[in-house]
Amino acid sequence: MTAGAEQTVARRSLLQRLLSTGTLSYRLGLLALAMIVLAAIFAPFITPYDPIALDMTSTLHPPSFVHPFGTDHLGRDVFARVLYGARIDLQIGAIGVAVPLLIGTVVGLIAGYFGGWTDAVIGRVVDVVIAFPFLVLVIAIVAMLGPGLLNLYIALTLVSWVLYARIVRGETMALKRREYVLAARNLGFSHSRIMFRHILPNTIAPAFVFGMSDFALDVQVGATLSFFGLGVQPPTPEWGLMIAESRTFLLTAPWAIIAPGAAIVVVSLVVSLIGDGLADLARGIDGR
Amino acid sequence: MIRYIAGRFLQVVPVLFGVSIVVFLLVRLIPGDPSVAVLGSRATPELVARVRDQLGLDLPLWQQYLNYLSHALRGDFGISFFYQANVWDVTIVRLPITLALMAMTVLISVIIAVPFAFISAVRRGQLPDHAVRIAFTIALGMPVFWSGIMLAYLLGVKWRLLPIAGPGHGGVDTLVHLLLPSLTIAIAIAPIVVRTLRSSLIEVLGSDFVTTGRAMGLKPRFLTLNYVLRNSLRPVVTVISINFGYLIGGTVIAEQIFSLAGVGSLLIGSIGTRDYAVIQLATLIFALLVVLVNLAADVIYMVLDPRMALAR
Repeated sequence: MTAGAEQTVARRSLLQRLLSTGTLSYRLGLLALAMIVLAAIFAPFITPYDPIALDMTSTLHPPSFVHPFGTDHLGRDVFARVLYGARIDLQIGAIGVAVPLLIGTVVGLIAGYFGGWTDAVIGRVVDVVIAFPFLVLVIAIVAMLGPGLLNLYIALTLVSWVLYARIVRGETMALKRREYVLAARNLGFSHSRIMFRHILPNTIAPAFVFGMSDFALDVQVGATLSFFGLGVQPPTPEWGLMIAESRTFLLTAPWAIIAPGAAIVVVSLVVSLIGDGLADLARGIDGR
Repeated sequence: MIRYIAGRFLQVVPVLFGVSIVVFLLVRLIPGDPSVAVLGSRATPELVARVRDQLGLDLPLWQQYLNYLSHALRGDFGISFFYQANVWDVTIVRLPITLALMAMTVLISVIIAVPFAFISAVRRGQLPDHAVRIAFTIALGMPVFWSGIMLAYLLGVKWRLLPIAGPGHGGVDTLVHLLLPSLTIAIAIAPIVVRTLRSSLIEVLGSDFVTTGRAMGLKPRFLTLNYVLRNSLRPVVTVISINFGYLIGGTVIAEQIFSLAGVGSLLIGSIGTRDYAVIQLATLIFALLVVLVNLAADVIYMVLDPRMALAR
């Protein structure tokens, strides 16, 4: 009973701390991310244009008041496509972080908590997956599974859960010798309760900090695969795919390439501001 | 020290085994019958049976793996259906240009990073430091395929400073042709180097031997080059070896964008032609490179600083 009450207090204060404290750049990052997410969700209210409909009467128009980012070779409004593209690219980042974070955290907790052969086996698997260059293994897996967004998610998950497992394992190993964990064990709490209620809340911060840089990486990898024709398929608006489609028109319509690339840069920048801020906060919480 | 180095070599063995298992299992991810996938539209029942037999698909999985491994150890990675040639021969001739591109990228990354890290470290917390940090955070956010296209447009087409595509005609010409691709990848790598070098410079600049050197009246340039820079570069070796997989990712993209016939562009090209054996070998080679570079970095580190062996 008291444990449950304590937990809600801890959870609320953590959320409050995440939103109300931190450096200026961290708060600016959060604000910018919120605005980007809202813009993606409410895209139909922001731009009157359909991101997919062709308009062969207005191809390759330079940026103007009518088309803020110009139009591409099929007459599609680049601003609308960037806006709608945010839906896909942010989704790639979010799923590419959330699923591996979940799997990696559980596996890392188990490995770090139990140690012994469980840890040895998981440790070897982690070592092996880390030996592959991230992008190369993602490309190889998608090459086998076939192109598409779902297969991209599968590949991202298969490759990046190990990174989270490694982080959480290390934290768990350090924590399991702390007095409060030993006390919980002496009180006869079950392993799963100790792992998920007592150790997990204290290991999750570094995983989240890493998750922010992983988010930017996943967006880039997703865009890269779509650029090579392995991810999102046309005519869906996605930033990497937009760059690939407009590449041949670089000399006549550079705006159609600059805009989606700049969108990737902005998202990476915003996410790294948040990540740096979270890292500062995590250091503060742990007193390290 | 020798014991440490031997131990480090032994650590690599299980990783190499694991890597070979992953590469072997890759083709298992192909939905449906891999032999049908390999043959594509050419698939007839007789051909499928022949390919199944050739790939050993009717054997138990562990036996298939042992077959794969024993063939691989003899350099036999099968036949490329697209090139109608030995996969090993097709792939290995493309390795030199990939290695050259990587070496040049590392060089350019460090050349870019050193002055900016110096400015950042010396003017720590001041405007130049913030400017450098923001600039390199933006650089880190740029996807390599995009910055490659942009650089090719600006430096190659608009200002006509550098050749934009192809490997050139050997020698200096090839090096000139590699400038643009390696600059492209270096933009993604340099931010990581700057960050590490900045903090190690701050540490070294504040250390006693630099203060002593200054007090002795050593010339600033001599002090900077021989004392500060030399002692700050070691973490750079570590950070580059840790991020070597990231560097390889950049190489794959740059080779494809700039039409360089390396292992990376072979990997991308083989996806469309469904040349699975080539994809497997290219993936294997890149993983081996990561393992070898990390091993080499550790051993070099050890030879440079024997205290490390005792510390572990």
